[in-house]
Amino acid sequence: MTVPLPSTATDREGLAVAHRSQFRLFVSRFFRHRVAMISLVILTAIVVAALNAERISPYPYDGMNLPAANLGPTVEGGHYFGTDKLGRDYFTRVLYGTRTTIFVAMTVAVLATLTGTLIGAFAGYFGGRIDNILMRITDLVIILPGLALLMILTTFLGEGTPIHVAVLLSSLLWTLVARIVRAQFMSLKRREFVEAAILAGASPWRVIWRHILPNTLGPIIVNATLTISTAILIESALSFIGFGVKPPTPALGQLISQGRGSMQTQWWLVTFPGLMIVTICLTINFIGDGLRDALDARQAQRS
Amino acid sequence: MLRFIANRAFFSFFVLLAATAVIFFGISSISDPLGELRSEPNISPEALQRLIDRKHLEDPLIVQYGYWVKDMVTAQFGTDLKFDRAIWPELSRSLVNTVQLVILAELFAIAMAIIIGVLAGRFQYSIFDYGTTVLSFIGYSIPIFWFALILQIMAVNFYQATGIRAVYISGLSSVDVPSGFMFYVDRFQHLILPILALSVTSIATYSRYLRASMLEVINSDYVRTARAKGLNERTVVLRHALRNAALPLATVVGVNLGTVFSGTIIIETIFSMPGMGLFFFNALSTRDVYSIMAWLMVTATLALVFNLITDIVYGVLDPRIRT
Repeated sequence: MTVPLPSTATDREGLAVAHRSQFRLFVSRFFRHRVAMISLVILTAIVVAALNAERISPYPYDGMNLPAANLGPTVEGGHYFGTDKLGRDYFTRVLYGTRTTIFVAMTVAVLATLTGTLIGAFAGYFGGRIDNILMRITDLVIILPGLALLMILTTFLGEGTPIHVAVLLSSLLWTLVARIVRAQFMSLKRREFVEAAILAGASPWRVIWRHILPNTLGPIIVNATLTISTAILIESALSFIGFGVKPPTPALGQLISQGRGSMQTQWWLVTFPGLMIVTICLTINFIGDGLRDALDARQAQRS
Repeated sequence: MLRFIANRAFFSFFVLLAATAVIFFGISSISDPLGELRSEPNISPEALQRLIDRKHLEDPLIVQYGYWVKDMVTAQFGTDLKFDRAIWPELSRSLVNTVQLVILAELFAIAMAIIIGVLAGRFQYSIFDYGTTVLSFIGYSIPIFWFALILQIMAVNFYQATGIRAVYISGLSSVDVPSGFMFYVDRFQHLILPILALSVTSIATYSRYLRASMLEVINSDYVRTARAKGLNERTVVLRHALRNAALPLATVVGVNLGTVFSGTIIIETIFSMPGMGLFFFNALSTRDVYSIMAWLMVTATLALVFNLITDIVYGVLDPRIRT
């Protein structure tokens, strides 16, 4: 992994061929995955729009305008997603809600992936009793009724801030990464290059960090991507039933919950935040799928 | 097989014992049972003291734990804190309703998944295969609470447009419950939307899984042998391929049940169904720790029972497991 390769090489007939690193191969395979590429473009657009909500929308998040209350969605009226019962522009509200939701989900993905990787690496590398204890804890967390536990924790401990919700979510969502990383470590630590490193006197830390971990990055990245969409779904559900992100911080689940009372007449209040969630999760899942195919060279050749 | 079940049941007993401790000390460490009541102005200090005496709240935690376990075993979880109402009657009624919902939703999901998975696996790269693949991605991405609301909107619109009351959007039975056969029709009309909303994720998960294992099985030697023997396609796919492909699904269903039970909390709240989910939601809203702990115990027991059933089903499907 660390041996520097020449930037050009010669093939058997002595002709110069451009060197293509593993990373370049991965990038080219991913870009060939059409659905994943389209998804990436859409997702980027949504994220950029959500981050620049105050620049994109002429309306403030809480700007009431009673004469314009309960307007249906129109393009020419300037209210693309309509307005709510206080005349607030719903497109703006959805953008702000999206920002919170994405922030929470990204934080969860980072925290859960770090925790899970650490636990999985320890369990897989050291094995024996450490492995046993860590994996029993993992099993326990997996069979817990996640949503119920989160509701209990947010009731008694939570403050309903995005970062708080994110930390609580990460405390449950690290298990899948841990299992994946553990399995990878178990098989990689018996390989010759790891044994060679150990015989050469490398410390466990160096073996884990420099020799094994780089080889497990693929599955970790794929799983982190999918964790984002799981986190979005759970956070929205929590915010919807009032146990997640609390007002005044906007979140998509919250908007749906507020619009629910009048959803039979003002259908847009429930429909658009939900469509936003579906779009984000769908694009993330497609990207995850594309990444998986791109990282798994075997599968790419087969299809 | 019997010894295997007995072994697992014996082991489950100790898991449950551990669960009582985890639940009691876990909940005690993050909450004060009297927290809400202390700040309520219309509860006198004497009334508060009565509550404390009744639940032995001034004793050490380990003694309280003993009282709680005693209540659970001898008095069916005892009573709630504020009103001294028995917990079990309502909880058991909720349990029946939720188990009914979960079993129907899961059976529906498994049936759909078998149809989709078998056809998609048999006709790989067909339009049906691509279509269901995209649908399953949507199934993974859709928040079930939102899907439930959309179903409600569509049901009401349908009623307003046609005047036919095909389905109900809340409750478990009509106010004037019909008897006999019509009772089941009425119940079904109430359950159909919750079942649909609850089974979306399961259908997506199971059908993807089944498709993958069908693809693995369908290229195996024994399926080729079955074809070579001249069996018709139907027998080959259903008897030889599906039986082996469905085997790992039992485990997936078992693992997924936790997610489904989490889903009932949301679905029952939305459809106002008197089940475990709504019970839990209400217990949390009033912050009644005794109801919450009882709910957690029942949920833990359910999880173990379903786990046991999964193992038994696996044993029936795969003779190698039986010891």
